[in-house]
Amino acid sequence: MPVLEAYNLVKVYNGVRALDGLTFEVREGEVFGFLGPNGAGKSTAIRILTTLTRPTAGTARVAGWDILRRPRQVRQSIGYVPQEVSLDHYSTGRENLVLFGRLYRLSGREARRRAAELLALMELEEAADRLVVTYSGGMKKRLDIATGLVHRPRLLFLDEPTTGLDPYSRVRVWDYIRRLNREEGITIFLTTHYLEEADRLAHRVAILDRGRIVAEGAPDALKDAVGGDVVQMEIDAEPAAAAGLEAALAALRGVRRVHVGERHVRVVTVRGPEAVPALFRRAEGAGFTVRAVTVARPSLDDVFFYHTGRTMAEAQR
Amino acid sequence: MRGLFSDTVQIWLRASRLALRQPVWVLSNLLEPVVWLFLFGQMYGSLARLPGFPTASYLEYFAPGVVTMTALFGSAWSGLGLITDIQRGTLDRLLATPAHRLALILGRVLHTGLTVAVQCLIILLVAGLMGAPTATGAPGALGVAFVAGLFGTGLSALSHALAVLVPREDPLAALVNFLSLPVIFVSTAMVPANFLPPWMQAVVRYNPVDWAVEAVRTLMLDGWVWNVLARDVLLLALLTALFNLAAVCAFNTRTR
Repeated sequence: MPVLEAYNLVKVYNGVRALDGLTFEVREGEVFGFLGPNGAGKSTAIRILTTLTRPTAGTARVAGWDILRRPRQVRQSIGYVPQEVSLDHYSTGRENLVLFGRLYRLSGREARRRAAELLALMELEEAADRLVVTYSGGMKKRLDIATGLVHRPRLLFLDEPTTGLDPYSRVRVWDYIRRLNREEGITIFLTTHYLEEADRLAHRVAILDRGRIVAEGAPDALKDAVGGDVVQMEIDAEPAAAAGLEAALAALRGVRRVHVGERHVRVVTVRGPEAVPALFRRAEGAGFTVRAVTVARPSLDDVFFYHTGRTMAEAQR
Repeated sequence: MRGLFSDTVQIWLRASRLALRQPVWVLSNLLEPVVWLFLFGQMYGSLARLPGFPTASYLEYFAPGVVTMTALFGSAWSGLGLITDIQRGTLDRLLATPAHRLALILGRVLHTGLTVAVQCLIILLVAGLMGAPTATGAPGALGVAFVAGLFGTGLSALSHALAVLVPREDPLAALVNFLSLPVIFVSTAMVPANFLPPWMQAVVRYNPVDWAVEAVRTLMLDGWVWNVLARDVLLLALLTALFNLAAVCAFNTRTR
């Protein structure tokens, strides 16, 4: 049974359609990744689903409750961890947890017990009674996540959980997210613009671009659906010649998409290894020097590119 | 109503905890009114020698004014803390909990009101030592603290409403500055009404600052004059309720 169902969510801000009809579901027990470039509508979607913003049209059921008619029940059933660390810096970790426990209607004793439990789970016991200002970035984030869990929510919303963290802390946060999902059985909805994060953590992803879902499914299934391999050639290319090269390569049999960057060409094609010689000849024939070739399975970036015609890096700009 | 009381207490505890952890905040809040009492008492001391001045010493006249000014300045800025919460995302995080919306405001403004009430009790103590005792004694002092706390709670709610509507520090600070001094000057906080020009005398009685000044001065100088006290406290209570309502409405605009 889905723990979240969104129907045709639309949000218009000052005439701009930030969300243009989102319909999707999150299943009980999964990690669901909401992937897209900055500005694609991820934050708007998460604000609507956590009852912080009202949709212009459409609605959603979260944990069985309608977000518009029963916002309070929705709030009681979910945990929400915003992108920025939003805790009191001049309270201790424990005080922050107990405060939120109380606001989520736990008794004083329950709130204190749960705080101790979560501090242990997040390996913050030693820092529990220190002010949050003294925490490192990774510790703050772990406390932030713990705060979203005080009331044992059915669904935890994590908005860009590793943005701004150093690579080591990022990997640690990933480990905690996996453990929460596996050991505590919490369904997790996370937004991210890091392809690797979605790929590593999510059982299923929805790829969002310009307020619309362009693809939804398990990362592997989405990659398979691209229908081939990715051949990347390192070249020396003049921007002016790019269009010609793109057309020349796209005309080859089996080629499904071509993207010419400043120093490389990415081609989605069936049977990648066998396609390399023909691609190579075409590129050289068009006057480009090919310096290296790699063949790989598609990544989520290729999935994004396949569906939108742009890479994530281009869409971020 | 479920949870309103308990949520309010939690938010109040949080506000108090954060305030008490700033020693500069505690110290300056306690010392400032005493400094005012001393400085203004010296500066305007000769006013009391003018014919028609209602009290023997200026300090006696001005002490209720200091109480009210402390309540005003102690609460008018309180919305700034909310702006920090808005910018940090803490407010959104609180709004995403089932906590009662009104509690998110009440907890904060009651913290301000209580702080102001405690400050005012200290002022009364110091004023008493300096030769301006409270006519109604200890029960009257609690009455003064109540009036000051009520006034502070209302203004704090207004400050919070403005903070949500202009969610940046600079415009809010400018707005508070712009409003605070005129409402003090167009009141009997520093000067009796009969010393004011006629047009000001006409305006003064509609100024909420004056309702608070009048109630406090009544308790400090005249005693339990119930008709005056009842009218002022009722007006202040209505204003406080109105400003809290405005703050709730402002909060609700955030979740549009």
